[in-house]
Amino acid sequence: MSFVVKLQENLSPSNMVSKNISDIATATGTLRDGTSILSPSILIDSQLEADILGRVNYAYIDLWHRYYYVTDISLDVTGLWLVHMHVDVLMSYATEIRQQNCIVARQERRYNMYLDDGWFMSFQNPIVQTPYFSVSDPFENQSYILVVAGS
Amino acid sequence: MAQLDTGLGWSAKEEWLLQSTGEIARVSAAQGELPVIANPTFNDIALSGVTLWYNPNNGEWCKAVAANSGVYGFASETSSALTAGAISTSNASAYYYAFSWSTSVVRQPLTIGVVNRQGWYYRYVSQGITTAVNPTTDVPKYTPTTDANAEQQAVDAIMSAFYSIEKINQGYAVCCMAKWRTSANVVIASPVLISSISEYTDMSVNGSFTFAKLRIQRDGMPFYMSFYQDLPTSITSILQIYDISGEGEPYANLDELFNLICAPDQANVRVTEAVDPYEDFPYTEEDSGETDPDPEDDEIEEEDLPTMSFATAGFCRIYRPDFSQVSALARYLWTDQTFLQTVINHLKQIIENPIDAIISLSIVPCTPPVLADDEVKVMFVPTGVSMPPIQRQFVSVDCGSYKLNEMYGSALDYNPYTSVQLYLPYIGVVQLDTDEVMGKTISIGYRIDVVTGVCCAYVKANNDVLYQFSGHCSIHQPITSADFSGYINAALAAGKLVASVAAAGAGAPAVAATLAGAPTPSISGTESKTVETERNPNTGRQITVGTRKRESQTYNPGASFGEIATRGVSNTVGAVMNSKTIIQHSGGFSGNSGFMAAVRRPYLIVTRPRIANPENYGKYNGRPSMIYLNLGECTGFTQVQSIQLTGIDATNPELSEIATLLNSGVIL
Repeated sequence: MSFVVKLQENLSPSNMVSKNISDIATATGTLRDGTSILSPSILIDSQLEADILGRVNYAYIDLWHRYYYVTDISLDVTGLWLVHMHVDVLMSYATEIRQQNCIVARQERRYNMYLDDGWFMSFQNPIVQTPYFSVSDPFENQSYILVVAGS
Repeated sequence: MAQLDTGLGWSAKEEWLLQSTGEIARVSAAQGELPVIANPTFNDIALSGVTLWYNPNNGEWCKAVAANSGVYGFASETSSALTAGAISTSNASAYYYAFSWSTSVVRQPLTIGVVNRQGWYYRYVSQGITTAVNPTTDVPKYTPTTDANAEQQAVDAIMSAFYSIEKINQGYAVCCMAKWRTSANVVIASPVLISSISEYTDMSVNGSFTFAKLRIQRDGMPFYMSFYQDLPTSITSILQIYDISGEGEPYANLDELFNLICAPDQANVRVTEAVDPYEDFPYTEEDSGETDPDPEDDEIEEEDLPTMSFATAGFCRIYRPDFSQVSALARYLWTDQTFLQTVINHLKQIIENPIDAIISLSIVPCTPPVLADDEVKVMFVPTGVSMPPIQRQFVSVDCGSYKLNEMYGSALDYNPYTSVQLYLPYIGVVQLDTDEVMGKTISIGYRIDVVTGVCCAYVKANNDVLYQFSGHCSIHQPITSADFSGYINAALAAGKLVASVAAAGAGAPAVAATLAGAPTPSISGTESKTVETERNPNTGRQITVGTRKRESQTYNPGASFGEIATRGVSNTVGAVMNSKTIIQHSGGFSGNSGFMAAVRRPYLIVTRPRIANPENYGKYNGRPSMIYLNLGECTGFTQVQSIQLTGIDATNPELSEIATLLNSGVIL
């Protein structure tokens, strides 16, 4: 079974859900025996220039509606390029992920700093403040007190 | 787009409710929908699609189906036996109550229709009813009446039989438009299946999609309506129920609700969740951290000074002399003008020594109010020295206040990260609980017993007296040689006490903190002893030269949210702040030592962490959230604490990988 593989370049972090990708080339590939659609190894046309393949780190297979990280590329004994890939679940299911409701532990913009999850970092030299109270000399007036027996 | 309608005059026509399974049911039809039917016939009612009827004339129940199926009737539960037109319409005061439901399948849509003599037509539908209702036994029989109030009560009684909250499955979409003019939960349904709508539309009065609407009603007053074509059609959507039954504004943002309904890609509505046991707890807040004040929180105010006083008891007199008056009295007691006078005085003192009448002479750091000058009499002997007697024994001293503000506006401003100590003159340094005083105005006041020198300092946070400490603030003057020896001994004893308190305080900070009322952070410690050895230079044998004790402490900085690690960084604020050696700032002032302290003005010692906040910290790590959110609302770094992935047609390993990635943090 052959199918179309879009060979792409991904410049986004791997944990980004919607990645910034650009198409580099399109090839026709076949699934190598014994591999799965989650971690496929695909044989593609060897006519692709090696320098182009050197930029490929991402792929999309429309047949399976999945995006893939390209984990390795090697030359098969038959002269075809063997592209090893692993599914990028974040990009493949980005729409569905955005529809999920969940309890968010940490967020960049929606946060509550009164929660302490143990991530606060501090330096070893704390800030020490010594503020006075507002009355400047509460005990400056002194008095003798004489106690004498009898009324 | 649908428009919000908050007017009271809005008349609902048809509403549709979709269960999470995709089923759809009619929600309600309200006043004004149907044409006025003065004396409805069976067909009139049957056309409305009801399937179960109540005959108010004889109390019978029967089944019927929609008119377009051509089967009507009474008196039997089998549709084949039903007969159209059997209901009596001759009685102009007759009211017809029609119920449409299915008892065979729990959680089937239930429709209740009511037609009164004015032709007003009410219909109620609910889903998720878990308790089957037998109309023959569970529903009160209706007695026709022309009294409007009685009629309404009868209708309410019938409706209540179906719509008591116990009969509603909280796990399902619930439409609680049970009783007209009552508060209700409101269900927004999504998605709407065209096929379902078609099916039910055939049974509707008008038979047209255009009348399918969603309505939100609050306290009987509709304030939102949506046409069918505005409803989302995404099959992945789920339900959400907005509880607007309470007082005040609905907690759900109406615009947000509107968007959820009208924007297919945001049609995420959640099913009514199980009851949150903390929902009504006054100290629980979902995301702001602020809570409503507890109505049982009383203001702990300071009380008035004691009114009873030795100053007026008669056993003694208490004066507040100035320096010249004290000197004059001393001259009278100890210094004679002539030798002859000295001899005479000594002879007098054989019988009665005036110094015995002097109980004490001290200096206090306050000025008690006085009366007019009075001549001092010693053993009833006038001394010729006048001085003012004090008005009362107890004196109040205000030391002012200080507003302790947050620095970071975060958990860093509270225990255990920020510590607050308070120096109190004549008492020493005491620990305050940061959580109790942060963000509040701290006020200090003293109460001094000028006779004994005992003082009591109270610390207020805003208007509450939270702390009280006692000390000694007077310095007693020796009057005789016997007095002086006692004076020295007391001073030495006080010095020993201070030293021991200081030693104990420095060595046992946790104990000191506990005694001061401060919470002790959770610290678990381990202790190990290492035997130190050396080689005997003469024999070459190993000998023990001593042991070395090593202590380590592990600090639990506070709440940790399952699966969240601190990434192995050891300098968290908790670790740093609790690794500090706690040094005692003062011992316990006692006796005259307090009077000689270098500072006689209270001040705070606030130790705050110096936070490390690298640029773009939030971009890479996020910040603590713990908020229930739709991921579509989030942008930037997001780390999920808990999620139940639904509606994703991915393989199980893929779902696991998605959950793992979300738990470790992704960028949206």
